[in-house]
Amino acid sequence: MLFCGICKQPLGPNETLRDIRLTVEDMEGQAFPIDKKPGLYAAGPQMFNLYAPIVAARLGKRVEEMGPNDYV
Amino acid sequence: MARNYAVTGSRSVASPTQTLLGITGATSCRTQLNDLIVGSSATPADNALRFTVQRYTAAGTSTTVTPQALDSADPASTTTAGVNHTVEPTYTTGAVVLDIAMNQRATQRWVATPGREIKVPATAANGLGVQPIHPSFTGTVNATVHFEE
Repeated sequence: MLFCGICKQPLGPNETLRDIRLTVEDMEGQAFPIDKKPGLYAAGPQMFNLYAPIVAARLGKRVEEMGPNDYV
Repeated sequence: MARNYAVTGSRSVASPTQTLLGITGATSCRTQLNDLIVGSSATPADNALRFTVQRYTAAGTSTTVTPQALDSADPASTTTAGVNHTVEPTYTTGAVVLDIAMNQRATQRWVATPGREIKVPATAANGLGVQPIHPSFTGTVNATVHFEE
């Protein structure tokens, strides 16, 4: 079974991990991760969807303009 | 004449990812990665590991290792190397040059096609980092890097 690297919750069926690099600023005000360490996380869909707009905004892009490598 | 060197390293996988091995170029040479071997020495299990090689512009904090010359008559390398990073390098967003997905049981090797080595710019503190990615696996992973300068 796979677990989200950010919230540590198990992934559901057909859910996959995606990589996302977070800074401390990205994580401020968010409940997960509990221990806010910057770095590259393998995230489940819920956490990826939570952080994707934050990372995109930091890079000055819209989510639709982001490719997979833009998150790492 | 080009000289070739080897660096090896190992560490436990962590989330968020901590870099396993980094090679940092210098202004006086063009470091070129041409061979990479990644695997895991942990107790065999079916974990889906990923290894990425990504460019960085600052080397972070790590344990310095001395690259070993493949020809023992060669001098020490100009390129520096570090393993077991405690402070991550400053990775360049999107600059992933290798992404290797593998089963923990199956060691993987990547060899550059001649002429298509991964080159590091001749800029201080620029380099390449090998990162093991897994959200929960904490076993030991290992890497060997060969580079030319």
